[in-house]
Amino acid sequence: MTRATSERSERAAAAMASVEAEILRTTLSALAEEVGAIVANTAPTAEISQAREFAVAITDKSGAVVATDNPMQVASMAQTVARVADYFEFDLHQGDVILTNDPYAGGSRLHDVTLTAPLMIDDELLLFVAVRMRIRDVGGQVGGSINPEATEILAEGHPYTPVKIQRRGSPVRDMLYFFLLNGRHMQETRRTLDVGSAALALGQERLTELVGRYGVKVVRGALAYAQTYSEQLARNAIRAWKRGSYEGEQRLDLDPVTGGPVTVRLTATVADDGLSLDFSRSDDQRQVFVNCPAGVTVSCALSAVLAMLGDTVPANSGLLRAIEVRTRPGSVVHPTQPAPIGWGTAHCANEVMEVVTTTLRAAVARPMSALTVPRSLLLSRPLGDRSDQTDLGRWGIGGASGLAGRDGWGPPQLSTRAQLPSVEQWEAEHAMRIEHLELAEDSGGSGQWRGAPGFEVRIALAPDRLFTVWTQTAGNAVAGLAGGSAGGTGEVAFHTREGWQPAPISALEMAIHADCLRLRFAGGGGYGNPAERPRQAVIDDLADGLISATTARHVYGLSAAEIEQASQHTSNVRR
Amino acid sequence: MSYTIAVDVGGTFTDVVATNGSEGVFTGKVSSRPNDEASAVLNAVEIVAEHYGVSAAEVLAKTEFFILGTTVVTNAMLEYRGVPTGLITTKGFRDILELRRGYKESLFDLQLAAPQPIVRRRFIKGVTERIDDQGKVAIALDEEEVRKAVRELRAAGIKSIAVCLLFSFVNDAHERRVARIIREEHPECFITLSCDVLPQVREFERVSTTVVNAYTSPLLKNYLGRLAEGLRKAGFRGELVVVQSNGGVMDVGYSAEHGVDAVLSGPAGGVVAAVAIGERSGYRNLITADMGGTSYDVCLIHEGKPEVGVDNWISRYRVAVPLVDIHTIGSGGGSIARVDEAGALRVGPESAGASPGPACYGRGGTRPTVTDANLLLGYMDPARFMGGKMKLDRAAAEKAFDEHVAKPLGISVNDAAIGVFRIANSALSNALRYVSVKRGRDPRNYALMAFGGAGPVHAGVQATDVGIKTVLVPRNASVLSAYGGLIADFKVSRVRSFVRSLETLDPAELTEAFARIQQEAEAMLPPAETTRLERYLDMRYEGQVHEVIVPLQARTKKISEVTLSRVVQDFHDLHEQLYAHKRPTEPVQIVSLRVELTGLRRMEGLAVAHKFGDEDASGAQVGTRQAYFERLGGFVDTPIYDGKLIRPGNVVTGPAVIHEPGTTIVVGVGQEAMLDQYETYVIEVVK
Amino acid sequence: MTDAITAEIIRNYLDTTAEHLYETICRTSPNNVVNEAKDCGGGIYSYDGTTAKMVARAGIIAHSFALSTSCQAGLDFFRGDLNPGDAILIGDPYHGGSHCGCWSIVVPIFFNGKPRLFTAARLHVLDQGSPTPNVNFACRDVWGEGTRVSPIKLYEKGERRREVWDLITANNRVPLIVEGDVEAMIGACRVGERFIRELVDRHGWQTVESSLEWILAYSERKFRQRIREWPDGTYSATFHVDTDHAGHEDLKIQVAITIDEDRMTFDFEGTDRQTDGIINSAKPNTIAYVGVVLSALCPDIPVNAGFFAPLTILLPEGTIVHPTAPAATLAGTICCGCQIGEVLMKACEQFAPQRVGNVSIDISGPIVYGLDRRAHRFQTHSARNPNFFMFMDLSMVSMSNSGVHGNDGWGMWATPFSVARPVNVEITEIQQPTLYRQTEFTTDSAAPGQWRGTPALAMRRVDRGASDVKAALFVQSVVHSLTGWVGGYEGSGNIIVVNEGTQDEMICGEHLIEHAAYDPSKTIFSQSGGGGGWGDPLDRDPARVLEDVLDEYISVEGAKYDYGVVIDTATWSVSDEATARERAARKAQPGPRKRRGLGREWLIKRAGIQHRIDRHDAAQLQSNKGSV
Repeated sequence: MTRATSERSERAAAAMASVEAEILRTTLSALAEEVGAIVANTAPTAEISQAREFAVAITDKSGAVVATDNPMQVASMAQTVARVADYFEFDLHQGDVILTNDPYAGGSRLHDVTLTAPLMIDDELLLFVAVRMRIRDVGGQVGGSINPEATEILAEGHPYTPVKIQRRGSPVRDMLYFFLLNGRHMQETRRTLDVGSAALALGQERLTELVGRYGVKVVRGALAYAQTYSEQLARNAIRAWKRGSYEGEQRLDLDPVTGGPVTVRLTATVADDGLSLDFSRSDDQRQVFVNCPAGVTVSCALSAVLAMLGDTVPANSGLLRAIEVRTRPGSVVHPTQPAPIGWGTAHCANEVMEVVTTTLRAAVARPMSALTVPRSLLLSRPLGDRSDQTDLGRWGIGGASGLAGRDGWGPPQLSTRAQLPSVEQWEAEHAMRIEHLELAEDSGGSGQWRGAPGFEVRIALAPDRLFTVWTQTAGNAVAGLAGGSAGGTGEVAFHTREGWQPAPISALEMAIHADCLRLRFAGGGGYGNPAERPRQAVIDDLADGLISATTARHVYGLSAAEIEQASQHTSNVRR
Repeated sequence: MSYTIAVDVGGTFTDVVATNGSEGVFTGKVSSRPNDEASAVLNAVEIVAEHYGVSAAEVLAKTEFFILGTTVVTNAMLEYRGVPTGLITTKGFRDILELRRGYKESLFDLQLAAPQPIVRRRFIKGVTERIDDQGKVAIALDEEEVRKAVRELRAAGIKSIAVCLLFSFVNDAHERRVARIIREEHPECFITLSCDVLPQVREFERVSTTVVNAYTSPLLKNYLGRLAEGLRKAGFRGELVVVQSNGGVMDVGYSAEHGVDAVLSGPAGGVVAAVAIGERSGYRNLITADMGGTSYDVCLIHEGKPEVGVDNWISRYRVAVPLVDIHTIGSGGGSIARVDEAGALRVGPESAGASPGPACYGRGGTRPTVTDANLLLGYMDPARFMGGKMKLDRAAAEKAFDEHVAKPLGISVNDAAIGVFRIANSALSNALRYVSVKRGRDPRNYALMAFGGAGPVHAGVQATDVGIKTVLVPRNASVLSAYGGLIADFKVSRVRSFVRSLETLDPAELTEAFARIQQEAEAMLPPAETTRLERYLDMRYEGQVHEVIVPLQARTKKISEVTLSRVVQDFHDLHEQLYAHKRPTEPVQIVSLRVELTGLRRMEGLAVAHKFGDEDASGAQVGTRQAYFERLGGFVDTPIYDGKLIRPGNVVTGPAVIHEPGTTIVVGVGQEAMLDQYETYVIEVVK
Repeated sequence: MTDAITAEIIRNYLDTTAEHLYETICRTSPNNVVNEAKDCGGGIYSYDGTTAKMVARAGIIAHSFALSTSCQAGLDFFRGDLNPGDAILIGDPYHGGSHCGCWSIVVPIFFNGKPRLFTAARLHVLDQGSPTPNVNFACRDVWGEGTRVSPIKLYEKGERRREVWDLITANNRVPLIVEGDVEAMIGACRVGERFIRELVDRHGWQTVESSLEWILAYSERKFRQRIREWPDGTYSATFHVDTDHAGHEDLKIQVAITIDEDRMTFDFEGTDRQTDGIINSAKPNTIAYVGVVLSALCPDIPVNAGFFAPLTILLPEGTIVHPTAPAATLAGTICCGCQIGEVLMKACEQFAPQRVGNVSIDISGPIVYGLDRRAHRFQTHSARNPNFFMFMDLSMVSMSNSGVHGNDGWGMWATPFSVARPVNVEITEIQQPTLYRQTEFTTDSAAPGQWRGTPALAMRRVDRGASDVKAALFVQSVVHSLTGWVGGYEGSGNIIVVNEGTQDEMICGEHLIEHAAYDPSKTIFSQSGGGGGWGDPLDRDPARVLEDVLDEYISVEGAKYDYGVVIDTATWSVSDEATARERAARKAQPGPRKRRGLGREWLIKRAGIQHRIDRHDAAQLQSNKGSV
């Protein structure tokens, strides 16, 4: 973002009544949310409607995000739309819809497809509306287009550089058909795209109304104002931080076969006028699917900062003026063609977020504990149908880490915005029964403020299924903070004739003869010295079965009597 | 006063052309003697002597150059009569020649037999050695193996040995060493090294060319020896030179070692003559069309230069030395017309040849031919064929047509003849289009020079068909090849592989490389006062395997960055001209360099311009005859002219037929023929 | 209706045009699968608004057939949306194609505002955007095969659609090569268009159009006559595919050809079901083989749409000769295509014994790739990684011609189906980081017969200056090698050995080598056998056997073992009575003779497939008993 434009936008902001600007800013955010709601409600797949794997953004004509319903994808949406705006700079018309999923130009995963539509007022480009949606397949070796054995992107699926699927309001038949034919769910994908285009149309309609009501100039002003607003809030917050340059790194352990550990390195500089996050020193990209696309890297870095700012700053590209993020092309956090990227949004995305929080702890007043838990890939399909991949990993529910002043509760803050699946709906849709879904004892890290425990899930498996798994990080724990101890590690295990067996580190459509799957994600880390945890809280945890008697005694130093009291309590309740 | 004599020894006739440096040229014919070309040559000298009214000895004594066009090599290949030949090659690669890069003449014909081997596999010896693409010795040469191989070949009665080792064009050390060993072990053996004959990448093309040279050269050498001696005995003191396939001439020393360069000795002469005659009449862009009894030879001449071809085959063997690019199709006057089982009228490729010949020759031919059609359509004069030397049997032609075409198709004999005439014409026109379009050129910008017995009968119609505006018919076309020899310059064409990527190429290195090839050429070229140097590059886009030959537009020997980028530009344009697209952003490679060095011979007093008489040609009209003209919807009473009576300046307006001793010219409707001051008919074609 | 003469004139002209179109592709493609191996084709097609018909063709014949169906798919998709200046790209087995690797270009030519003729070109791209470079043996559905190119316009009204080109190249490992290939095809089609416009200018559309009818009718007429000459009846044959490389072995292909006056019916009932392996032959490919076989029986009949009029081809849906989506068709064009050709010829053998011979191409994906580390190299712009190279040794592909009645197999010309060409050693060594140690025929490897097959070609090479190399190899005709004809013996079969003669030797025979790393300094050995022999080797003229011995095509032992000819090595002459005795004894032997020569036995050992041979022989024995 150049100074020129930001000056211009400041003047624009000043030029108009701040009230009106504020109204428009909130209206735009509301509009993004509204469009998002439409997408969620009308989408044909659970991935979108429940797991909420989509994003809506309203951007200015350069692609800078003004409002979005998905704060975790601000930067990657901005990069994607900017790419589209540049590619079709001289070929944009009202009624165009442009499709792309290019992970090397802002995209995240191949099956996250972004539709972008320009809003032209009197043949002049005012802004873009964009919606990103998860579809189920974009070709490649394996249904679902996530391939743990991929050494290059084409093994995962097809990247789409920007292409028009709609031109001046009428569909581009051949391109649309080409896209649909190259996925394993033609009909479903067609419906998803229809939902997307409908949502875009609705967004444009509302925006046109706004323009009708306020006039182009004002709306354009608002686009700038919204960003300046977030920029200012961010700068203010950061001013409170300790100046200086901080270095940190996060390591993702990979087995030697895939080249050993890969490290994400950060140099964070807190200056008077903002923050810069430089990932340039991170390791080179790998021929493994853990490369994190640049857009995702920037998004994750922003998210981590937002978490530290405490959610008071509306997420849009304005943040990027206050928080400058640098990545090096060819690195594991900015892969270039043909690097595979299938699991990058989990790992190294997690490493990116964690390196930001850990590195900045020294700079902020309230040190931030872990924002994520390690994630395992766990897909399964029936022998007979290559296209019908079920994501069992969705049942992996980790625990949030404890923070100064409160226990961790629920899933980690930045793991996902997904709604947890409902057992009943799940069982209605899948032939696999959920046998067990409960918090796992002792999985929350101990501390004055303990981490939230992770869930243990046991799923009865249907016979004759093939499994695609990647459990490289399953055994990792989430570290504690300020004397708190680490949370319990996760686990993925299959119940076979030989009893419980750990899942393979990496497998592609492997036949595993098991009747049951046990899945546990890591619990959150604890905060502060366990000894200082209020006795009653420990007793309650013991009574609630969140911690074991052993932990109560040896970690929290509970007396036999207190332990007895807790068990009484439970038995009373039982009675 | 000194003479220059050129003879072209053909199958039936030996043509001779001579000059004494003034008063134009003498032309004549004597009949050839199968398997004894030498004596026919001496006969030719005698009629020259006769003409100048002196003794053969006198003529020869005063003859500076004696130029020979020969078919020795061509026939040796056509009849597989070469000498017993062996091949020494890199161990592990003895079958390259039989594999012939998978080439097969007819896709669907499973029954097609293998080409007759000119080197039996048992006489192909692999020897341990290997040179890599950088010229480094990967495996040393096993000299003992070579010795053993040569001894075996010698014992087996091998008279000529070809040597072709991988990458000898980068490093010829091993080939040269093998040659020395052969000389030691088998002194009288003829030796051909691939690095001499064709120092160019691609082993099959190279080995085939090398073997053809080995197989044929000893015959040529021997023949030239006998001839030279015969001429010496008869008093000749001058230089005997031979017409080469590249349109130049070379001395005996060179020719005797390079049989492969003489495969087109005869026809090339014809093209050279065509160039000269064309220029004289003011045409530098020509398509020559020579229609004989069995074949139709076409060659494109652009800006006074015959196109050079490098994709040639002779008798099913690949010959990759540069030749005047003559495209031949199997349709001539003798081509036989038939109706196949599904009712299509086909003309050729089967031919009645010289015997039995067309039905109308009355030599026992019973099947209808193009010549018969021409007779039935009134283009030929039964009484005046070959200047009256031969009578034509119209009834026989009619019978043949009735039986084989008219009845099966259920049409009249005339319509049958018309059909054959049209199909023949379309085949010929396709050939004209082929030679021009394959070079990305538009035939309409060329003049058509027609010769050979039947050529000028069809030329007019083809011109209209293809859109050509001028047809040229040289009067003494029948001795064209010999005439070409008479005026041809000394010329060496050398090619050498030089594989480089242009991005990284240093112009100095290129200058250097060209200079080296030029030196080679100069070493071979007989001394000449003035020489002309032409340089070419074989270029392609990265990844391609077919090259485009691009002329180097540079006046200086030194090649600058500028010249280089100019060449690249020319390459892109040429590629687009040829293939309808170019990729200017793509990297370009050079594969080979070509040098053509010409030693100019100054020939004077050949062309004597005649005074123009008046336009009226009625003096030459000898009557009328019913002849067919499509534009007039059928047969019309057509004026017939006797060529001998036509004077320069005379104009004959079509429809008309002119009978020259050696050929017949049909002047079509809306066409106008004028004999120019150099005795070439210039026929203007109005569409 | 125009007259036969004009039509003949126009037919000749169109054939020349097709040839020129094809030549242009070969000369300008930057892809050695095309410019060296000639894996491409082109043609001219007519269009009446609904159906595309092949009028003239050149190049690999299978391409010409798949082209007509691809054209059809493209035209159907764009019906009502065709404009002058359009160029359509198509490449999908379920949109008229044969497999994902073959792409077609279709260029409409308009007359009086209607698209009446098309020039079309087709070739095999070097990379098809598949999960692994060039070929993905692991593909189990069509998506795993590569990019499915549904009909899409690269040029619209003469305007280049940048977004489409960028998309295609973004999905390719060798973007510049694939772009060059597509440009080459479009260029060729435009060259063809020039010719055709000139033709129509001269004759007028009416004449040309009616000539087209005549041209098709002509081939039909001519072909019907030929069929009449063949005895009426039903002729059946079966043949087997080694494996689908997905767990199924000895898959059966069965055909029954019925000749009824001037009509022919091909019924593939009894053929095995499609599998999720890589050998399913898409319908157009199977039909192409019918065309190829018939063209070989009648080489003088111009191949066009009329040629097919007398034919009824029954392909049971869901079988390996007519798979339904989403079955993978990766190798189908050559395997089981090869076996389709074999089974058809075996059936034809029964009514036209003197015309039969092998028309199939019988070996497949000999691909290696990696990094070329040589300082001086020329393939620097093909891929994103300037050192990346991908090399396909096509010599292995082009060997398969057989003995025929009256002629021994010879040379290395590819069978009518493929027209593939062997590599050129010197050019290859300049372009690729490899060094050949051998490329020549091997002794005793020619299939014995009264007219023997072509000897097998043995190749040995090492890679130098290469690193990170991987091999993706598969061969066919190992267990079920190319059949012999009329009593001739079967071909010796194919094999590739990587790291030859070392502990880590890998044999590609019964099983494929799937993108495996190998040691570039060790030898890659391949032997690809020719087609079968024709007629009983015991009837071969002993003099010819002697000649072959002198030329080392046959060893002295081979002469005796395969031909029953005894050579006196003192005088290097045939000892007649010994030979007569030997041959009489052999013929007297009771029971069926196992028609395997010395070379075939060697290969069975080297490939270690005796168990497969025995199993199959036993099965055959059973079924014969059953049929008795």
